[in-house]
Amino acid sequence: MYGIGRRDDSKLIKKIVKDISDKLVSTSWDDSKGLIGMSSHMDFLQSMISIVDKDVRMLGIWGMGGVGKTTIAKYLYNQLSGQFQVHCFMENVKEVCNRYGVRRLQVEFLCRMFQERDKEAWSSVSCCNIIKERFRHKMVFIVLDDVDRSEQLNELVKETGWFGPGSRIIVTTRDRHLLLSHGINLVYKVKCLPKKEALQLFCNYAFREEIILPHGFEELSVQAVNYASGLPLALRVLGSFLYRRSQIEWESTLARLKTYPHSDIMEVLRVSYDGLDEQEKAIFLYISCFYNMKQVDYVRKLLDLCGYAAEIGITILTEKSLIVESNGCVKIHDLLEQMGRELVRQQAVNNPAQRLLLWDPEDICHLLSENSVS
Amino acid sequence: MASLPSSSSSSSSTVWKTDVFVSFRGEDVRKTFVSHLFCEFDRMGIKAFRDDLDLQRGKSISPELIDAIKGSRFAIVVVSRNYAASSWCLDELLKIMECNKDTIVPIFYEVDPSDVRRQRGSFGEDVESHSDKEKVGKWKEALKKLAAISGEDSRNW
Repeated sequence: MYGIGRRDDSKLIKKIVKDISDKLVSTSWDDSKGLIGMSSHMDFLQSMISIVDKDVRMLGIWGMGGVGKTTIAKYLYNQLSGQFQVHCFMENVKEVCNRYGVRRLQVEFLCRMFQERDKEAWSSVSCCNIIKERFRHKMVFIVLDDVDRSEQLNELVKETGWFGPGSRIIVTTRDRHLLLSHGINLVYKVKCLPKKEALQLFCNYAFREEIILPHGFEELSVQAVNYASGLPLALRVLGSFLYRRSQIEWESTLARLKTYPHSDIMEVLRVSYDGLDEQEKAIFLYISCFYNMKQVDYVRKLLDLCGYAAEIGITILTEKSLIVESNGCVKIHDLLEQMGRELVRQQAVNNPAQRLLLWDPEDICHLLSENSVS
Repeated sequence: MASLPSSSSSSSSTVWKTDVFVSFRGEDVRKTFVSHLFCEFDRMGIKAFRDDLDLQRGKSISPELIDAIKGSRFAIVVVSRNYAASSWCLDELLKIMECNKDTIVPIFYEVDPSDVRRQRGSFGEDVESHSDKEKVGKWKEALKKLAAISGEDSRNW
């Protein structure tokens, strides 16, 4: 290719660039601030990905909003992509697709895969055919971040046969069903952080470079961490918000959070709720107001009595990471519970009688004493 | 006073503008070796600073260029046949050596590294041909240091 004399400049260049690339990777994450718990994620993921195997593998990273799926995928990409012939990280797949359509998503994908800046390059061809034809002999590493519809997978990575031996495709999503229906059975479930790591992450944002936890903030930090219930997004948002604020400001923030959830956190969590249909939304609200930690059978019966298709509803909510079933009980993350209740409250802020559900004892007493409920 | 649960000390966090600065002699390698090198950097998503203003250069290197050198994490110096004939290239090299980069990679392109180290042959003559003798002394020192760093010799490929 680079026909200069008998030397092989092409190989020399590859070597130079690879050396630099390796150095960049090994030095770019020395700031471990946001990476609490990453090594245990990596232990599981590396073995699921098993880079030495020559099959083509698709793998899902699944979990609730704000739990750190994207951070994990990015870290993975930085660690591994250098070992593949072609690689790309497609962020916000859902958003790009919703806003600009699936065609734009494909064009963006091809531009990245071929390192081509000119978006017009694919204007008159079937993108699916190009993907199918041109990567069959390449070992690729692809991350599709935040996927919410099958169509997005079908248009970019429909079949493993489209890619060369050893290729790996990682999909992050809140919806497990989406993965399973695309035949992705390797699914890594991202869980919330345990207490100790949660406190670590929170402190990294709330106190940054300080090595000693300032006097008077110990108990408040624990309160903040309890509120976030191990959700990395909430720990980060709260920690950053409280950074350099006074003790009194901490106290008042934490008190307010008990009644009014933090809007940045709610916004992220709400996306999952907005993607539900009316039945599922209602079931979610019922569970967040009344049925957290209740027996699944009991919840199912009551919801059936209310006229909801409880069986499929509960399954869908589980798949979309809004609830979990454990030990025969329905469990909902504290912040999702708070969001559900807040959504009900917002239906009619000043007029509880018009809300779908009433859960606040004060509201109920008030209404009963006024005798205005029919 | 409780100690924080983590003592992860973040190193002095310099924000690098680019990943690599590449110093080279335009007339020798711009359209060949270096052009392919930049393509490969681009393909791998590595941001390399490219000095394209080669033709409108003045006598001394601009403050923008010095910023670019300082703002790059790594530096690659492509030492080709006529590298030392350009006072511009030699000044660039001097700046790179002064900046104490994390990593400097010399690429000896069709040039014998020992000629660079000892400034022998036509390479040595080129260095000496410049009139500012004080500068020449500094350049020779920089070249000697550069040649002592392990890099790549194109003749091995």
